[in-house]
Amino acid sequence: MIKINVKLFGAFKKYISTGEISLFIEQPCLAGNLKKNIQKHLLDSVPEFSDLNLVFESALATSERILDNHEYIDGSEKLALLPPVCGG
Amino acid sequence: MNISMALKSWHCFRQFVEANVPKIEVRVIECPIDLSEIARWAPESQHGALNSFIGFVRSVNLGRAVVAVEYDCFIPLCEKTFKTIALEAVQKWGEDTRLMIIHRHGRLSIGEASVAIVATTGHRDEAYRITRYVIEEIKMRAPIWKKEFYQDGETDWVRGHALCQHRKVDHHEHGGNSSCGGALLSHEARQS
Repeated sequence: MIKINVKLFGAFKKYISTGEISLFIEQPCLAGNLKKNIQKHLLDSVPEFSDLNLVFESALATSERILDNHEYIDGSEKLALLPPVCGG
Repeated sequence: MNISMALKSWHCFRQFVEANVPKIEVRVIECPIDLSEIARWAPESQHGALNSFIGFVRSVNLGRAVVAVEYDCFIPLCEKTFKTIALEAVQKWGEDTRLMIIHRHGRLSIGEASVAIVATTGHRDEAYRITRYVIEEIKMRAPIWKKEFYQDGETDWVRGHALCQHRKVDHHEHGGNSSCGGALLSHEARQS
């Protein structure tokens, strides 16, 4: 098991005002499975978390690129969970 | 120094400046966008056109009175995304294009500029196309999120375009159930 930190943005900050969560994952871990773990973490730790599609609609990313759901997370990169975007 | 020497010196100086001015400039900033800087973004000597797009915070959205907005931004990936979009535009419409993209983050009041895009090119057609392309791609791909503050005291994060790739894109922007999909497709690919 390794501990990873995930920065959260946008609508996630309704539920996690610090904009960051920590959780433990088994390795190897696919990005898609990490999203499921994050969903479970939010459901378990945030009683008011009600937007069940939000994690599914979000993308895991590093500061360099979006990760595909089929990519493995090795814990060395800083991760972020990006909900649907609306800049401009 | 006579006139011809002065003109030659000026020509050399201008060539030096043009050679050393960045072709692509992107920034995410917390302070207000300096619109006079936009006005000073001069075209190169071979450019015949400058086009700009500036987005402002408006006081109404979907029938609700808005008093302020707050932009959240994953800055390192955002600036990288801006550079990628700018390079795509340059590749499409001309290697000598100059392009600037500036986006605010943090809290903005009504009437403040949230985004500025300036393009200088040889001809007006490319200049219009580039600024349109860039703003549309920013809306679909840049990791930026907007929270609206309403007159009745409520707030809400505006829903937008999904960045993950496991389903087709659903472009519903406000509310509803936006499905997750390949938003990394280019503007043209999405139109086809």
